[in-house]
Amino acid sequence: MFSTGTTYFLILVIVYILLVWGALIPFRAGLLYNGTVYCMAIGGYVAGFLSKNFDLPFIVCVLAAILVGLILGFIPALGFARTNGIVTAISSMALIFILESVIRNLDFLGGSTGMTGIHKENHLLLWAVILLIIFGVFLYRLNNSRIGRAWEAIQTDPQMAQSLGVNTFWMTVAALTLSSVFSATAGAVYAFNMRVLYPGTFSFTFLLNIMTMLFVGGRYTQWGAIISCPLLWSISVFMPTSIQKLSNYIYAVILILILMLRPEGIVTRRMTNKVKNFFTAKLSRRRQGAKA
Amino acid sequence: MESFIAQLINGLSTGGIYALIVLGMNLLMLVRNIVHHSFSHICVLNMCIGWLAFGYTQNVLLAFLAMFACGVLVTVATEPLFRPLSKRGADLETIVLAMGVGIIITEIIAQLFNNGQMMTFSDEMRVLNVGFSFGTVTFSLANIVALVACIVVAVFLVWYLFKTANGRAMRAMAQNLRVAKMLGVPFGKTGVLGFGIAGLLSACIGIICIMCLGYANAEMGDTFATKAVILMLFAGQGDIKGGILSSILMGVVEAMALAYLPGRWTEAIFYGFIMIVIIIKPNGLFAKKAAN
Amino acid sequence: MKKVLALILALALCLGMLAGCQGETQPSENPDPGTETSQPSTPSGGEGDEAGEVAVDEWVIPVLSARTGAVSYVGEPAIWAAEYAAQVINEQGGIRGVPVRVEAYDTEFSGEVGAQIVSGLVDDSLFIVGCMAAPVSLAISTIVADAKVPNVGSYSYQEIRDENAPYLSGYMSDSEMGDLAAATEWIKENGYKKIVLFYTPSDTSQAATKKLFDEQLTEATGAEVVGTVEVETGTVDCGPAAVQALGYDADAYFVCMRADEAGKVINELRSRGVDDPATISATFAGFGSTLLDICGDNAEGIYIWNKLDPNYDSDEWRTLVEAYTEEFGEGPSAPPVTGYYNTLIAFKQCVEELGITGDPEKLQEERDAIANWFYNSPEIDGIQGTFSWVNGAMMTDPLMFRVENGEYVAVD
Repeated sequence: MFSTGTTYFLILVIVYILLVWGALIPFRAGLLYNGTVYCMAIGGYVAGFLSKNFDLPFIVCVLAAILVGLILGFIPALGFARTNGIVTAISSMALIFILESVIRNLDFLGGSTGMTGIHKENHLLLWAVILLIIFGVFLYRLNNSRIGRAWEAIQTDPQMAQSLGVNTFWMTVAALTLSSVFSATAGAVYAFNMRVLYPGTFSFTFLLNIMTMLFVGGRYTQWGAIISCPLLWSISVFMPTSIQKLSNYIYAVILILILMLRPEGIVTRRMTNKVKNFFTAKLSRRRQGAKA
Repeated sequence: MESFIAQLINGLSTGGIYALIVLGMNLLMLVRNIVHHSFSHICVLNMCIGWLAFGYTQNVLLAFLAMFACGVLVTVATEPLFRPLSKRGADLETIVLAMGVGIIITEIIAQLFNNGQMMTFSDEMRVLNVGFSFGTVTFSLANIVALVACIVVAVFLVWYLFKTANGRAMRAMAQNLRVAKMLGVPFGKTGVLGFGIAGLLSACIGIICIMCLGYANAEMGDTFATKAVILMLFAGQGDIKGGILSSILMGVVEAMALAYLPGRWTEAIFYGFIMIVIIIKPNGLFAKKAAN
Repeated sequence: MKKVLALILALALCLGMLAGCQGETQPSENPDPGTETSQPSTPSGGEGDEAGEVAVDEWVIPVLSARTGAVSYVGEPAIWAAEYAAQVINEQGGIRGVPVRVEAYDTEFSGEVGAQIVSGLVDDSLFIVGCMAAPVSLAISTIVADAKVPNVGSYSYQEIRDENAPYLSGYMSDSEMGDLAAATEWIKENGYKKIVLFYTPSDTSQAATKKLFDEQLTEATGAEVVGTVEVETGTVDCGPAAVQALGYDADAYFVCMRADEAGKVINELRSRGVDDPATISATFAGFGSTLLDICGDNAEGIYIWNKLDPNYDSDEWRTLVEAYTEEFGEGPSAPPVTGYYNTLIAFKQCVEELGITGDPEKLQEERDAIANWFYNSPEIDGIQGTFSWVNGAMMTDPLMFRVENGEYVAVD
């Protein structure tokens, strides 16, 4: 039913959504974390390496990617939890440069020439959707859990959060580590989709794309990504030939306008609350009726 | 020994250029509490304008004038973009918005100047590029001018921002907008003034870069921007003295690293070092000194 | 509780549907020719297997290149060359009497964008030209090979072509092979013994050159690589790199980098005591007016090799140079120009020799035929002499030049 182009489009959009969620979680705790691309590269290379050399099935590779991503995401998280604001944003960006140069020097990962020969997964789109749903539900539950509220408290006012008994250090570490899991998963899906990896892929440009999607979509709810990722990805890919040269301008102008005019992005908390109220209003009214 | 001296001088000359850009960004940090990631893009755009103006008029003075006009106009033109963000205190978002501005400027240079190819400046424009060389050791008058300019500009900025009424008003606004407004500091006017000074500085940086480097291309903005932002944080945001010291130090360290470390690992070591320092001292390497 | 149940049910339904979709796309994996039925092109008459009947109104060839971003100054001329070739072919009456049309796509020098665009093309296309840049080609290689579409792009090393044979071929000769051949010629002529190699580690083909030199240069020439200097793209000051190179105490310097960095490095070398320009050799990656602009007098006398000859002597080439100069303000110097042009000319010859019809019914059969033809092609009359493909590698000899009075002059 889907053409090759549509399948590719959907998988890449899912990868982007997972990455934006990966950036969203630390943002919930008040950090602009740029380690997403770093963890994505780790996930991608782990999955690619296992598939290429040991011919393991997709899901095993993904799990291994998550595990390694978790560990390698946890270590820098211990450091970044001490920082805040722009300092976190920039110093986590350095992770990308470091990892890129490490991968270039590791010949078993293909070095500069890149890694080829990752096996084809025939039901990749299906797997990607399943992963997206699992992670989506998980994130939704998380946002409304104690941890989610603790993060929100940290975002609003770290000192206040601390005085309320929130362990800000470990909560931040948890947010950053969880973000690594999301990114590593995205990386694994990406690796199986492209089936070719080279160090330059996981670059600053990729990071900029993710940040734009996060800020345009809405950085306080998880639903923004679902709108902004397909939208912005279409802009950079399906531009008609005549205005192809303008695609970067359009991308940047959208980013600037959204930042100036819509502080929360396209999808705001108010919007999601409205939708939620719309659906739950009936239910709660019925319940209240029953109680009465 | 000779090569050591040569590398030291190389390091000092690049460090001087970094220091000037970091100065400009620190100025804007003190004026509006923003990270103007695209400040270096504006400097490069100034160089391109100079190249174009010289191509048409063959007059060095006119070309420099055009650069000043461009620098001031473009920098001031970015001020309204940051205004709504400053008003709502969204410091983190400013860096993303500045990146958007950076994309636009890079794209303008890549598409409109010299078919996107590197521009080289004639000897008439590089008046101060009088070279001295002893074997592998070379340096030019322009390098010395760059270092001297750093100190002069820094002294001026410190005097202006900390000793004059206008300067104090600017800093007050960056630190606490509401209180500053209450005290009668005009928000728009002060901002425009600060951005105007930064614009003048950007033109000076452009001229010095023309003399020291002698070329410009679209990618240069990004190269400078990443380094400058990292250096600014390394020294501590808004720390003028620290910014200069750390930039010059980094220039030297970078040159030494290129020369004496195994080349393939330079980047990993360089960024790793910076990241660790930033994590250990989130307020900047010179934070304590500045406080005393 | 009911809500949760309903949600789970709905999800299960969605998943089931998706699984169904996936199942249906499977047949396209099937190597059987003729299962591809989604070809939307013209429904023109001839359904029978009358070999030779052209079944399309025009040959549509997707051409990919980076039109925006860092390498657009090479990418745009590549598109131009393809369009120019199409125009030349059409003026001569098209291919088998049917005009050819180039559809240009911008890959933005990004692997994902390239992959996304190509994935939208592979279902229907007979033949794809591009990408222009090696990393992007790498990213699309698996897609075109899976879909079994012949693709002529920058596949500049043998492993990737072998892995996906016969669908991938290069639009220009292998860079590292050219580097080795050119370096051998240059070293032997001047009798150098100790070489320093400059390269950009993030560039795939330059990294491959470094590897090849480590393995084979000594064997080929007797000279030894005494040191390598890495210079990243966009390095502001190349002084440290030059000082490092001078520290190796070598006879000669092989500068395997893009024009921007190569120019800066050559300037630094010359100003720091390299007096004999013949000890410096640059490569095709640096060839062009940019290098001469940056170096000025410092470039006088250096060696440089390229994959095309800007002063080639033929009417065809001169007309192209005229048209090119009108468009870009200077003559062509980058290999993609001849590469894309020759690829389209080769496509014409291929279609005519094989009697390709463009019939959607026979799409896969014809794709395979084209791919095999390109992978090991007969001799083709290109714009700068004849050439052919051997195992997907375009076979042309490296051309050696020296800079004299601000111009590139061929060396025999």
